[in-house]
Amino acid sequence: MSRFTQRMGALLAAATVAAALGACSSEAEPTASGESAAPASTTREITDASGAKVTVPSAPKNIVALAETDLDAALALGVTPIGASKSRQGDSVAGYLAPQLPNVKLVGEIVEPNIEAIATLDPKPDLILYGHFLDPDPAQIKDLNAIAPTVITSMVDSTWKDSLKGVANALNLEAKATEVLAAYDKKVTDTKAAIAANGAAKVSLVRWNPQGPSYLQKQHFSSTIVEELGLKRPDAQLTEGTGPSDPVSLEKLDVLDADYIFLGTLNNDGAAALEQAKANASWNQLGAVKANKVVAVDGVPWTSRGGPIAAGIVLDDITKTLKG
Amino acid sequence: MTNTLPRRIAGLLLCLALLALAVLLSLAVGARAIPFATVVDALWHSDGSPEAVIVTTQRVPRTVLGLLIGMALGLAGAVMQALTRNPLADPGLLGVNSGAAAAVVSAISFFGITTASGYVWFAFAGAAAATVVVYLLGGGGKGPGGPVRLALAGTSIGAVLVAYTYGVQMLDAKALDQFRFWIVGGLSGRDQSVLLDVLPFLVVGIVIALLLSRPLNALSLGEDTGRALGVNLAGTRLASAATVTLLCGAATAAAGPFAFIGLAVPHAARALIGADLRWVLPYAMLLAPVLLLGADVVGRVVISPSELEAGIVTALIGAPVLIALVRRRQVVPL
Repeated sequence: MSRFTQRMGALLAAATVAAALGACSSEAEPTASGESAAPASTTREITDASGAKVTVPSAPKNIVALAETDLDAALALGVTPIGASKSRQGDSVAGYLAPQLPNVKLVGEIVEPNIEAIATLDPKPDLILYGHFLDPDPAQIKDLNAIAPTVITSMVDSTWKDSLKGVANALNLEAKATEVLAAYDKKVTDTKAAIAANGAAKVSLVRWNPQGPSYLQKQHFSSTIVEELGLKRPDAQLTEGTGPSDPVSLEKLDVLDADYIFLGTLNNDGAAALEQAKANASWNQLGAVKANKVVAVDGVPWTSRGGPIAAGIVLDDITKTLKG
Repeated sequence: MTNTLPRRIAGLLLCLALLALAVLLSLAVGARAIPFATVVDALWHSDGSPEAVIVTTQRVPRTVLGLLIGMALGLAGAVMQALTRNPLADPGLLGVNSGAAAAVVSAISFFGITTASGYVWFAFAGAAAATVVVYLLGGGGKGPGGPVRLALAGTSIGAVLVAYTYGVQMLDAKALDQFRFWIVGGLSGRDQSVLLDVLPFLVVGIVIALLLSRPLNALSLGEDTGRALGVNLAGTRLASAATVTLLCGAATAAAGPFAFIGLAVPHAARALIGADLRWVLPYAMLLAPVLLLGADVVGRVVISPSELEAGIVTALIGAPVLIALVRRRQVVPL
């Protein structure tokens, strides 16, 4: 029901904007037809992650990032978006990115961009990055394209590296992306060296939600980083999927056990998650808990779809915990 | 129809046997397979093994919770249907569920409360406040058309509270995440202190509900007959409303709002036993926890290692049974 109401709201907003834009474009038509004569900044045509051709500014200035992974990637590439979606943790962008975005405008919820808020941004956006953990919604794309060129930067099964490349493609910063990825690879090598003494450790990645605990599945962001480090996971956690698992029954907490447990929540309050877990007698029987090898981490970079900055945080946390 | 006394008693014993079976299944079956002998051992003396800990700290509390909440919801539903003389009444009709939900969403969003033991008094207070308002607006259900007035007041206040609840959720994504877990209704992972908090209310409510069977029977004969039989009508109505609030408020506070049980089980009881509340109430009290515990057990095993909340399973397995019952026998009028 709430989703429905939100959709209705978005629909109304979209209709309003479309009407306003319709009025604008009819006035602007003469200039549009004389495009080659216009001194406007140059554009280029790119193919986005969905295979669509989009004409984007060669040097976009005012960027809106609708997904956290794109916001992270843009910042890593040295670009500060002017608009972004609220993080799921509350009323701002993701806590680990917020210090770099003091002036960002919030433009809706994570999968429900507020079309009106985007259309009324000042300065007007000239590029919208649309990366999603859901399939792209054609109606949303159409509304967004009416405001500014909208680039689908990643698809549901894309990795964070694909997302980064998608963002770099849209921002015309491919060379910079190569540098960012090289820096990440170096950091992975450094981390491996730092934790060599614990290189054979099995690590469990857990998100403790109000519904109970989930583990991060095989293709989840943090799981792929752990895999690159050569660390092992409990077999039961290697289910196929890019997201967290369904909540695990409190009778099956043994699937969460390993040499180390990294524990976070949907919001950034890992300590509160740990308190919730400790109230459970079965949790306290897990080997990692008895050995005091549970690490509370910021669940936002760890358990959502991250980018290069989140990956750096994950690597730092692992180094801190596993270094010899 | 089973109208003779021995058959009714035999039926009651059968319900009791079903309930014992449901309790046994709830202790023995779960997402984790534990041999029955181990379960029995753990019940007598827990040896601290992971299996024993699961039995004593998870299966026992959730079984007790399901048992008490089931009884409360079954009784509350039967009393509610008799009080409003409305076969479609469920305990939520007095605003209990919507009041509790509005209070819980407020607790999450405005007071930042995130634990079940923190919600419990909000839920209870919200349920009680909504019921008092509905009862007063509905004129206490007195006079001809009184039950309808009460039902309409309950529906309207419920609609307002639901709108408020959705509004808060839309404005606060964090509240949405916490709340959508509570709103389904489930027995897993509920804080044991919560059950202890509401236990006195449940026990008192169950006793009063059973004592109300005779006056409620008189009420169902109509105003005049009831009065002629020497029943204090206003007192009966007030006591019934208070009992429903106690039972349903406490159940909702402890485990979230369960739909369907309070509506369906009294119908099933009447289909089996007729309209006499002296029998409907005990039958409903024994059959409702069978449904709830049965739903919980099914929910534990269908998608292991995850679980389906009992609140989701209840209607899925309860509805076919109810439809079969009311199709095979005539729907027994109140």
